[in-house]
Amino acid sequence: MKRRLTVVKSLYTALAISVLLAGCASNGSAGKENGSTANSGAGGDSGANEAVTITTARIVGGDVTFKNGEDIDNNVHYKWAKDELGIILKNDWTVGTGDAFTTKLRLMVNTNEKLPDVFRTGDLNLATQLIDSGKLMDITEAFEQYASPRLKALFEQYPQLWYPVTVDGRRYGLPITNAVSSSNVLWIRQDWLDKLHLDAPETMEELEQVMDAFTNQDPDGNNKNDTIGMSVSLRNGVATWMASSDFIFGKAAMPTSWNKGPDGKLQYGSVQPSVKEGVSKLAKWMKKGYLDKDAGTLDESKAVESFIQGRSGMVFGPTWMASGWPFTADMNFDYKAIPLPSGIDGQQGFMAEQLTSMQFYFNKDFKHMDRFFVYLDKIMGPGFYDTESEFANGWAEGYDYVMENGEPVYDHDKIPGGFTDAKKYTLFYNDIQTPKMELEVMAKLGEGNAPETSYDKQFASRDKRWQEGAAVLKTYMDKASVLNEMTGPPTPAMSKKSELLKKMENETFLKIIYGSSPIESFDTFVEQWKKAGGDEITKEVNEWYASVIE
Amino acid sequence: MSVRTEGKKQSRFIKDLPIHLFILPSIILLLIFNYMPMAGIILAFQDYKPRLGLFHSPWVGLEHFRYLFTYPDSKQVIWNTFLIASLKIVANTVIPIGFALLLNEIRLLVFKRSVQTLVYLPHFLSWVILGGILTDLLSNKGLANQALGWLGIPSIYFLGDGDWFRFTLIVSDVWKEFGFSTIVYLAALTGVNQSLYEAAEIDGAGRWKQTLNITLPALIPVIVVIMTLSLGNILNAGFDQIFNLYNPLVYREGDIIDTFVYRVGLMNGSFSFATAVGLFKSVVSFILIVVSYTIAYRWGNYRIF
Repeated sequence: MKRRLTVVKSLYTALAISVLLAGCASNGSAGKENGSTANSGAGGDSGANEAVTITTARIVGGDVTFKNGEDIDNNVHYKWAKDELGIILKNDWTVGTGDAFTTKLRLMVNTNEKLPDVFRTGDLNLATQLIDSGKLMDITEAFEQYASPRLKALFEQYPQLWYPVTVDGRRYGLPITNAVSSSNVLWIRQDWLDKLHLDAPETMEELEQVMDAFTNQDPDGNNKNDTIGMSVSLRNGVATWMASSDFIFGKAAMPTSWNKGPDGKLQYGSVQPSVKEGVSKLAKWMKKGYLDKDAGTLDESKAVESFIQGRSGMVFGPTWMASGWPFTADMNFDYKAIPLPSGIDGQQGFMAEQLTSMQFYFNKDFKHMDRFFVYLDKIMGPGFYDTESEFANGWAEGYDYVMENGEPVYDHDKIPGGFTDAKKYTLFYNDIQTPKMELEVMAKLGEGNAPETSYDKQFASRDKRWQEGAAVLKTYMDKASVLNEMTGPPTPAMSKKSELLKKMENETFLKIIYGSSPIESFDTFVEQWKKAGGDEITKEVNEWYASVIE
Repeated sequence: MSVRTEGKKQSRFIKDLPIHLFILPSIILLLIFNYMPMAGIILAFQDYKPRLGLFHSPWVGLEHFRYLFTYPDSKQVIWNTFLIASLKIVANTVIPIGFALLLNEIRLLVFKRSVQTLVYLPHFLSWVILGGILTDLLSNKGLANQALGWLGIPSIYFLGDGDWFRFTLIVSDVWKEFGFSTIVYLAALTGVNQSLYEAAEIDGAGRWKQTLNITLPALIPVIVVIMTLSLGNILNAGFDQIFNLYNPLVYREGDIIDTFVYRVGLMNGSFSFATAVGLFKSVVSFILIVVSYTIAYRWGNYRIF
């Protein structure tokens, strides 16, 4: 009996303690919340130097590291913002993964919890829900009023940047630009070209000749018929991010991409007649052994392996393939980047990197847009390759660089306590790039110019092939880019039917390429595609396009 | 009399109450994490919009189920799931039994133990890793096809040819999992009364006769239980495995309900439709579990309650 009593007693004690603890925790967080709202609510038009609080929510993944006992609420970047700009950055909450972040925001749409002042996401579905809920700020006027001149100039240069966040002519978010500096070049075995006395291919016919020679004339000299012309990945379709075959289709129509047709309306690339020719070309190459017989089962990084192992003569992909992954230092042969050959329509063309894939959104009650734009312009300095920027040398001395004799040094071994990536602490969790600027710097180095600015010096340590690839890419990037112009959230018919259509498309294309279906099945596919929802989607996409373009 | 026992029972319950309280946390957890989410089933009957939430999304009745059965691919997908899962269930029963019987005949304990451990190992590998290994192993220039080449057999595209794809799925699944089931059967074999074998030996029965007339009959209850319980999985053909191995060339033969739901539900954000498909699966599984439990109850002498 006595023993039982002790058990019960200890149970009660445990319960009491846990209740107490829970009480403490909730008290603490409530206090914090009150504090932050009070701060950010104070004073609408604050003076330039008056301290203001900007709250945010962020993903703190394994890539974010700290030193000197700092953490995400208190670190060198937050300190800088407070001391230099009078902006107190405050994290309402943090999560570990992008999925958790989206889930938490999605829940917030349904509850009355206060959204953070500023946050970023690339999930347009979520953004649409947030816009519909009326909790996001319309930043149309704020942008005109407060954005820095160079930011405005950027958006004037690329007006389509606004499309993903535009609803009824109003702008509900601030798109963040991508680097758009590395897609795409053709990597080729120069030693094989030399051995077989061939020139780099410039047209489709020349490309076929080179592939034929690479496949059948034993370029690796081991007396075995074990080489292929080109490494491609077909597991996720013909247009993908690496080891893709999209350049074959030229500029007339790009599979999986929405582009303007002759009537000025957007049309879906995969169902256009020129794509049929491209697919039949791939089928021919597969039959002749120019391509990897396993291409259909290989994903992008697996497909590149044949090139890395020296079994394949070419692979199509971004310039950063020479950044250490997927290409390695063990590739003891001479390969280089060359311009892509012209496609099926006689023009060079490739699927371009999207201009934006992330956007900032703002709580409608956020009062300090003026100060946010000041902050944004500062952290975009490196993205504009501004030599005057306080981040021109790096993000924080002693974190990602050190000064030695008045010169920044990026050697990780020389930084006391090791390298810590301080740019991960910004509100964007990274540096913000602007289109084609990185390409300019890299191409300058690739052309053999000596590094001058601090940015040049940072890039100078990158692989020579990467720099040379940039110099090659620069010569044709503008005229060959095919941009997917459908940048809005999925339309209703898309949500419902695109899976079926995509499956149909990939299956048809791959079966034609493998020769298990005749090329005529392409026409059947186009008809079915239209009937099974393609026409409806096309109509909705064009309605969306008309609504954003005005 | 009866009143008195009732009173006794009650007082005993009260006496034991603190001990009963110990299971309360588990019951609460079970309610929160296993039963409460079941309310989400109503998603299947709504046109769910996250912004409207669970309580304000419009009701659409059986619309999603109608869509599922008129969707051009669903017949194919359901059939694939059923076929692949049944073949796996059969293969995953027959092979471990055979293997357990063979292993049981081995007298050298060290050898028996090490084989047992070795065949059990693949069970711990994830399909993400195995997917990469198998893609290499089964490629046109991979080890499997090289071996076939030495025998003069033309190379087979295991992962790109529909019928071979199903074959590959089943063989690789058996290879990964049979070690685990083997252990279950081996355990059952140790329970067989040794005096039966002694008696059989005296009667002049060889090892083959002993296996046929003593070992197998002793195993039948276990076989029936395992077989029938796995019927509940007839619509689970193995998402992890197929997702890591399939490609557009084998959609027709390899696409199963789970991979289909993944593409529609998660990639396209059609939560309601995905829930409807999931509910359909659960209902079919539930019916099969009830049926198989009844079978196991009758013939396997199996009791849960």
